[in-house]
Amino acid sequence: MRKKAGWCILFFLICLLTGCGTQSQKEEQAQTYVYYLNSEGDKIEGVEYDLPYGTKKEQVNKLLKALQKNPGEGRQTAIPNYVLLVSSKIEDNQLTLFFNDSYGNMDRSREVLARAAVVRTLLQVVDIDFVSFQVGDAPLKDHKGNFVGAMGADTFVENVGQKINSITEQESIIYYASKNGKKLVPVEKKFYALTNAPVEKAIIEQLMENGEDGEYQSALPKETKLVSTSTVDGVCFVAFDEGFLNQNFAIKEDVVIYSIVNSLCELSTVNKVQISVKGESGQIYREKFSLDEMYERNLDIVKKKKQ
Amino acid sequence: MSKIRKEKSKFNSIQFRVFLLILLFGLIPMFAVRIVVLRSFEEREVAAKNQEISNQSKILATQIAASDYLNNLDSEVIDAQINQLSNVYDGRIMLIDSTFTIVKDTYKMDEGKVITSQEVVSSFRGETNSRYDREYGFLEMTLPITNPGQKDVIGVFAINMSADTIMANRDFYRNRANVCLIILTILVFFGAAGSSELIIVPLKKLRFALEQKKHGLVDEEIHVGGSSETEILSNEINALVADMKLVDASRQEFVSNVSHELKTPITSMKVLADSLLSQEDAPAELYREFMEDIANEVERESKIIDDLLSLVKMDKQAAKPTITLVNINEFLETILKRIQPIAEKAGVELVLESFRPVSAEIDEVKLSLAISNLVENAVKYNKEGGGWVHVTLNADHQFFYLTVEDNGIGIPEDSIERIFERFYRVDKSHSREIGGTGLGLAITRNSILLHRGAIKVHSELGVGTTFSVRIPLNYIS
Repeated sequence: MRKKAGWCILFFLICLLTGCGTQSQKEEQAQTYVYYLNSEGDKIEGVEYDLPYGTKKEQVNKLLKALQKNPGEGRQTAIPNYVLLVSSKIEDNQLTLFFNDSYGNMDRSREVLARAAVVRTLLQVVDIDFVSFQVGDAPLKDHKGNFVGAMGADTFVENVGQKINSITEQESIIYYASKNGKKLVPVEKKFYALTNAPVEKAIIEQLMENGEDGEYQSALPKETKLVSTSTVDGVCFVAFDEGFLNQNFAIKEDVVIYSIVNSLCELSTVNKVQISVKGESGQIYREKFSLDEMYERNLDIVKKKKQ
Repeated sequence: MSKIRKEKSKFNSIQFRVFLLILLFGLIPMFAVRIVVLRSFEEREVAAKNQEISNQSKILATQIAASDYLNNLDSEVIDAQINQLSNVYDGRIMLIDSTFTIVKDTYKMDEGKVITSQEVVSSFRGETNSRYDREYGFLEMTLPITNPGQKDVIGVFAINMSADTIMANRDFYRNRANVCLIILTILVFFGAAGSSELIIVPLKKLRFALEQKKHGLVDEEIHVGGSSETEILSNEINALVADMKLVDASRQEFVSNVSHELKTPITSMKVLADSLLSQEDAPAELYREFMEDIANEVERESKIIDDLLSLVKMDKQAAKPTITLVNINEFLETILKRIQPIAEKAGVELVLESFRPVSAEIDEVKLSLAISNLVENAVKYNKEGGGWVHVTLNADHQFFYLTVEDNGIGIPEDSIERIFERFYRVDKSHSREIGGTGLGLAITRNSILLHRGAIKVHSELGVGTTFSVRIPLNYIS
């Protein structure tokens, strides 16, 4: 009789615990870290931090507070305490931090590490995609005098060496715009990409380069940023941000469209391409190309090689 | 409980220990060598690679500094050299400027990004780092690019490459080594098992021989060769068995002697009594005479029984003698005084010579018995006239020495070894006339041994006998 009761209690407790487990999982899916520096000031180290649920502003403030708290035991705050964070401002997905003039007193390496640690910490807040720094009343400039600008997830790298075994050299034909912008120029390109990153992304990145000696040029507008790609059943959906709409009228519309389409169709997994801008449908690119359609490869406008 | 004991005893055996020893001494060195060799191989390859890259990279870094490449990236020569270096070592080269930005990346992937790794930071402080990461499989080197004139660090040269060839080589050798190791382990295992079996064979034979002996199947000596240890053991066992047989035989002899000795007076008594009863009108004087004889026999029997009892007592009480400090001179005087009348009667001169005063820790009763026996024997086995017995006492700082010397009939050479045996008489035919029980010297010897002393005898037939006794002054328990 007692044994049975014991088992029942145990079973009940296990159910309770698993219930709790799943609940807490919903609240915080990935572990949040606050980034500090080690005491020698040459390494960024992350310390686990429980970021409570709240609004963007609340979460940002919590993290800013944690960043300024003394981490103890062989570490120091990223920003030294003689630098004051005066205020912060959030606009859409960009956070701006205002520092006082003592920011300039940091030495070169300290400044870079501090900046990286702070940005990495704050980018963990959902819907904060970029962070920018202001010193005094001017935007931050780097050691060479260039403006630093908005820093995002791609701005900093740390463990480069670890990736070397997951980078492979890839080869594909990329269709660029010709010198006069009227035809497509196929170029055999070799490039490096992470093996587990989507190839489509790498191809679009190659598309944005210009050739040397102006032999060919990128058909895409300079400010274009790729938001996402995904391929389903042979159809590749490419989403750009609004930078795509900044037209370069020197290049014909079909050259722009088909440089993307042809390059992506070089992949065996892609037959058709659908382009979207800002996630919206029903747009028409330069009055000629409906962005709802799926386009297939078009080799007519490809510049023929001179024999 | 018994199951555990059985298991324990299995691991307690010499065979198992030998097996284990051979196994360990075979396997442990193998494993150790494997680890050391593989590790040092890997380290050497890494060091060699580092050395190669380091030299080339330093040259290139100097050129980069001299041509201000980091700021304008415009030099075909340097471009070509960077590409060549990265191709030759199949590595990724990155150049980082003073803002920590990657200005050149042979993979192009991270160009324009800011790098914050610890190695780069440390190189900006002037250190050269080279690192072999086994987990992710890469080799990395970062070195500072220093301004030739001012000697300050204007950038960092970083090269990293996959360590897959090194690791592939290491894996190849490791697999080879593992295969060898497995084969050798199996061989060592069987070798150990076989050797331990072989080593144990003589012991098993010995055990078998002993079992046969125990069951009475074999009466001869056992000889188990195969190892010097078992040979020695066999000899010792044979000696032990012989000793025990001897003891058994002497015990049997003792029992038969006791029966005989006890029986003899009783037989005499019976004869005397029967002859008295058979005579119908025997005169009182005859009765008196026969009763005297019977009384003597009874006394004799009593004496034998007393001696036997004291012998048995001494055996039993071997562990607890009563030790007191005794003045040996006085002690001897007392004994001699008691025997003096007997000596006078036999016409034997009894003399005591003490060279110095001696006091010792002894059991007075037992030793008195022992010495008395010696002196009485000296008197008994003496000539009819002109015989003497000299008792001397001497001592050094450790022992006291006693001699009992007589000029009596002596002891024949072949009997000297046996005189201390129980019931042993040199001249069996005259034993009744001489009297005694045959136990006297056995008791004496026992007593002296109890004191951890020693007794020796020297005798010449027809000339005389000398008994020498040595006893420790301080009793050793």
